[in-house]
Amino acid sequence: MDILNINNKDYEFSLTGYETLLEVLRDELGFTGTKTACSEAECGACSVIINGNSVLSCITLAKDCVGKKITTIEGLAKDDELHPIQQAFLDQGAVQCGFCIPGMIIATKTLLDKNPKPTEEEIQIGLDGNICRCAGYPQIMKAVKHASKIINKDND
Amino acid sequence: MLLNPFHLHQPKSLSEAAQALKDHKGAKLLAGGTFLINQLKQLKKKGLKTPKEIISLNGIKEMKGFEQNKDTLIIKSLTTIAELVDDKDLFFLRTASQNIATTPIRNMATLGGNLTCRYTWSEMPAVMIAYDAVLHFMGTSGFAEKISAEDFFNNNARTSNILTHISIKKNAVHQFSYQRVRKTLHLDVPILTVCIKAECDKKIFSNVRVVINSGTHFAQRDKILEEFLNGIGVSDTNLIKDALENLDNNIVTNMSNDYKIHMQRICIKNALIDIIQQANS
Repeated sequence: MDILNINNKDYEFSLTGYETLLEVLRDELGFTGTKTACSEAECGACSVIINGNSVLSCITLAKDCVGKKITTIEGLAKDDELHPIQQAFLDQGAVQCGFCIPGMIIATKTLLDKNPKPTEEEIQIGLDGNICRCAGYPQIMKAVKHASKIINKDND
Repeated sequence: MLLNPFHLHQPKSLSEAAQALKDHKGAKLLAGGTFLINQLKQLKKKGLKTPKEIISLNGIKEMKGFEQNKDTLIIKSLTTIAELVDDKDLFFLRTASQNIATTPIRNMATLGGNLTCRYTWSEMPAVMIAYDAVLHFMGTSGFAEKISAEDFFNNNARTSNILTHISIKKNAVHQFSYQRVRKTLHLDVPILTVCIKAECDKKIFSNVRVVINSGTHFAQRDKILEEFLNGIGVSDTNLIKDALENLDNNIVTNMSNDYKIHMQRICIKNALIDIIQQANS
């Protein structure tokens, strides 16, 4: 059996080897917050965190993730309390159609974990792998800055 | 399913990987997956044949990280592009690698994949040639082989072996400039890159390397410009003007449209301004 650690919980599978992580998350476990969009590593909608880095689950083989720590968008909130980044996206009206937002939040989480006070340019680089087809980038930028303030205030 | 069925091998050591490659002719090597997995999807979409055996190198710890001794820097081939960007000591690799694709791709893609994927527009070959890097492979027989980056790319980057690491002789204090022109389509693919490395002793350039990647052919040295620049004074007032009269125009001309020849001249001019400023500072 293959064990995947997802959102701090172990799941047992019998993996063939050719399933992508995206397929396992959505089709086997119902973690549909991770989105299927381009499936060609271009849009970032399928972003998840593996061992602290944002990666694209559409081009990651699930079997190569055994022994690694995987976090999806479902793993950020604690019980009924949203993660500060999720709350910041809501507060700043950064969500239009919402399809790209899980990927945006995952990218923001890894960015702020490594660099809690990013500059505008660092935010742009941190989110450069995530495309919003509604073009809601100004509000998304505001949300990331707002999240940074909340997180730093909590940590001070 | 996004992918056609295949058998995934997950060796834990280089020798196991070499054995798997020997046992399964035609098997494909998987590292970061940013080229291969997409390629497998494209082949499936087009109804074309896909490989039946994939060897994932991701469980091989001895292929990850950096090592250095007094004279040589060793970069293991599974080192990710993001790790190259993050390493502040390797400024020449950082300069080139920070432009590659996007953050999640840089987190996944590896140096080894960038060098052996055989896409002519990939970023790192030009840097490796400029630094006289040596590529080290393990063959299916288990024997190690090595080849200079320049010879490897002159031979169209063909290999059936496993790239284990890259070694680079530590250089004297030097200047380095990396210029890149990109054309944003659906992917951020560079269409022209120019890489100049030079040492400068008593305000005279020496050991100059000029490498051009036209995007349609593997990176090549501009030996005409190198010869011109070696021995030239940094403060020579006609340096840039004369340098632009001494280009190997064939590197770009044979393969590209006129605009690229123009961009080549601009990139070389900017790179020279950059290294002159570095030499003077």
